[in-house]
Amino acid sequence: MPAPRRPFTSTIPILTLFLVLATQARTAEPVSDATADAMLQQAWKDASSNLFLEAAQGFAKAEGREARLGGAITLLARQPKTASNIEAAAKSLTALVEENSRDTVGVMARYYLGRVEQVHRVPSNPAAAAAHFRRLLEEHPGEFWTEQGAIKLALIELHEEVGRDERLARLTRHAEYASSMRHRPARRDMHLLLADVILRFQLGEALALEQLLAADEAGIVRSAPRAQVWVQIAELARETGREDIARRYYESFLASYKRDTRRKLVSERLAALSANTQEVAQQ
Amino acid sequence: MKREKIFNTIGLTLLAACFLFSLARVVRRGEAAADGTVDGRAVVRFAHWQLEGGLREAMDRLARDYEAVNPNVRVEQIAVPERTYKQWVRTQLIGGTAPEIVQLGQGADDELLARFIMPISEWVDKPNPYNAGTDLENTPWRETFVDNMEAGWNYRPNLAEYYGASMSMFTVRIFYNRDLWRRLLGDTPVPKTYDEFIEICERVRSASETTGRVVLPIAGSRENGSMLAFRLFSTQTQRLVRELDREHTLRPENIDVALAFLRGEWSVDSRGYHDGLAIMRETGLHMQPGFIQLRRDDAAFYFLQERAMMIATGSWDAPSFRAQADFEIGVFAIPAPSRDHPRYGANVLGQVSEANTGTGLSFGIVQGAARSDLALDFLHFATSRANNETFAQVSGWLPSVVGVNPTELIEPFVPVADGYLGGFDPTLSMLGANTLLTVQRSLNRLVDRAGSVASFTEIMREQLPDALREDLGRYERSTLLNVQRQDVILAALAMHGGAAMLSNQTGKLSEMLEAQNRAESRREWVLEHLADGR
Repeated sequence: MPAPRRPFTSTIPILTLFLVLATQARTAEPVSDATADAMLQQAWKDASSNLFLEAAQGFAKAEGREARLGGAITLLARQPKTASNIEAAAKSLTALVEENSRDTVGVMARYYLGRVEQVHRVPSNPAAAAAHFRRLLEEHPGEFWTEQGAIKLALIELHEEVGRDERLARLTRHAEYASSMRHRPARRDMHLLLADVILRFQLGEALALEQLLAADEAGIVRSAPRAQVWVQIAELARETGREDIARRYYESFLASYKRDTRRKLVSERLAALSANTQEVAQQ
Repeated sequence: MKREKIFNTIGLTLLAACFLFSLARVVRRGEAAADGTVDGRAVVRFAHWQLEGGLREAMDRLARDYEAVNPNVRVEQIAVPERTYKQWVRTQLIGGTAPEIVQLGQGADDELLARFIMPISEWVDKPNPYNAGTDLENTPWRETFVDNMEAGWNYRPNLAEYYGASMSMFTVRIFYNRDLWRRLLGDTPVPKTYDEFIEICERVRSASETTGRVVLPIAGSRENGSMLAFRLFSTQTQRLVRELDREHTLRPENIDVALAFLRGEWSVDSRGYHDGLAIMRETGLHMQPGFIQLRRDDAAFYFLQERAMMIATGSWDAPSFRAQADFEIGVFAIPAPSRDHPRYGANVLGQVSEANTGTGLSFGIVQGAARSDLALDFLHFATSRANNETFAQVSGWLPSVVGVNPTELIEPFVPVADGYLGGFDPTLSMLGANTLLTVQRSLNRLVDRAGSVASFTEIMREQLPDALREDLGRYERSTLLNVQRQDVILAALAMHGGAAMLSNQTGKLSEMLEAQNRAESRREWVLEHLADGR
């Protein structure tokens, strides 16, 4: 009498075990450099597309300092935002800086430590943030993230409660630094920030004009802010008697922005400038 | 008993048939969603909430025209009621069952867009292929729109990406009942000045009293009344807003106006604000009592049932009104006081320009859609000049593409480009929910017969500062959230793009840095005002 056949279901545990072992063997295989790099690139790509959860999972699977940096930075956006996530991100960034503060990852980690203190931690700690940005300026001048840190430092220092003279002194210091910045986007944003502060705290129209001209020279990318800056330059130039600049910027504005509610006012300003010039010429 | 059994059997059979029919539909839809085809044709579905008359017909015409040139594609329109669209679209997006194209706006925010809507930035600087053979042939797609795709949901500065392409734009006008006008006012022309407008309102009121037929001069509601009254208010703050231009932009934003209020640079006693309230009261008294409690449907009924001579509303209502009204409809622009007006002229710079009217009815492509290539192609098709013109003709809505000739019906709604910047309205042009609510819940004290400018001013004197502070606080917090999110995206852009991205002056990284640094600068300025308890 033949042995009874074992039912198919009895093989399921064996098959499952086999599959688990096969999967583990597969995951235990060393990931090639190319695959690891591709995984890292995908994680950054996900993060750049606002897919923070997917990015965090990608960074968790990858290895190395860059993956740890990515993991720490994406923690800053993890929902719900919790103090423990922010603290964990800060710890991770600190470890990266302590291991090596000189490579790109170290510099970025220092910048993001400053940002944690400035805008992510509740309550924020502007003094601690400023200390990180100052360290970047001392240790890594001219680096991309250092120059971004300089803008954030200016943001802190120029909005502290100080008297007019002190604010002007700080402004002069930041303006000097701005003209030496290597990266155009940073130079542009620093000049724009300085112009904001000068106008808002009413520190002098001629001073604001210089900053806006420098910002425009560095290149304003977005259309609407560029229109705004061109009008500001033209207006400030007109008010400070630099009519040639005013005329040039009014004309550029009218030529470039055909659908703007300021066109009529700008046209009137330009006509008045031309009338003034004619009057002077006739005299 | 036997009869009951038969009925039960019929009922059950019907139920089973319905179930099977539904099941088949769901399976078919599921199949379509899986491989993007039905009956061997690729399917592109688009959803919107515009149930106004004419709109669906126009969209349907575009769909059929697209199918005619692309026989292997089937285009389906899904019209969802406005009230449920927000929940519906979120559920569809999260469940992965959304159509290929969705209207952007209701329930959208930067997070939703970034996660579920496909950026179209890559294509906006390339020409729209469906404009071939026209003078727009080599024009970037972005520049074929009257607003360069910058308004509303098309471009999101915080994400530095383009997400939508829009089909229309909207302006507000006064609609009037031509038949009733002739009966009550004879051949009186439509008003060109503010005084003529008020005189017409008074004549309608007195004619109504004389004839015994109750006809309101203007149908009001919270929305429609505000459209008219707020617009007139903003004529009175035109000069005031020029005085608040601390940053020399010639166009202070509503945030700047609110901050100037907290600094004490203007108050509820400023002449422009005071006269703005006076002109609102003057106009509001010609609407039905308590109109602030009514909604737009109520105002529409008043007008369509010939119980009101006029109504102020947007161009989006024109086709519906024309379809529903048993009378001829006329349209004219809101007559604002001119500079030489004896009572209100001192606050006025001149006619308000509508040059910056943004485009709307914006559509985006769902991230990961089975046939996103076809969805993009359909958007290109629908926003080509020729097809936008077809859309405008069939729908009666304004076009969004440059150079589309308006039909006679659309002509009165074309934005007035000439003119000056308008002032702010009493809500500080929608600064935030608190200011809006504060103004709305007290408006009765201004526009009711028993109310007055003085009593409304007293309420605003007490409540407006706190409302502005709360809204500025909300603005500050939402800016912070964006800045935080941008921090992560910036790191990712820099690392993903590598050295090339860092040295690119005009790329996405540069654009987002500019947006973030601008936003943080403004946020600090707002914090400056909130911190010292001004």
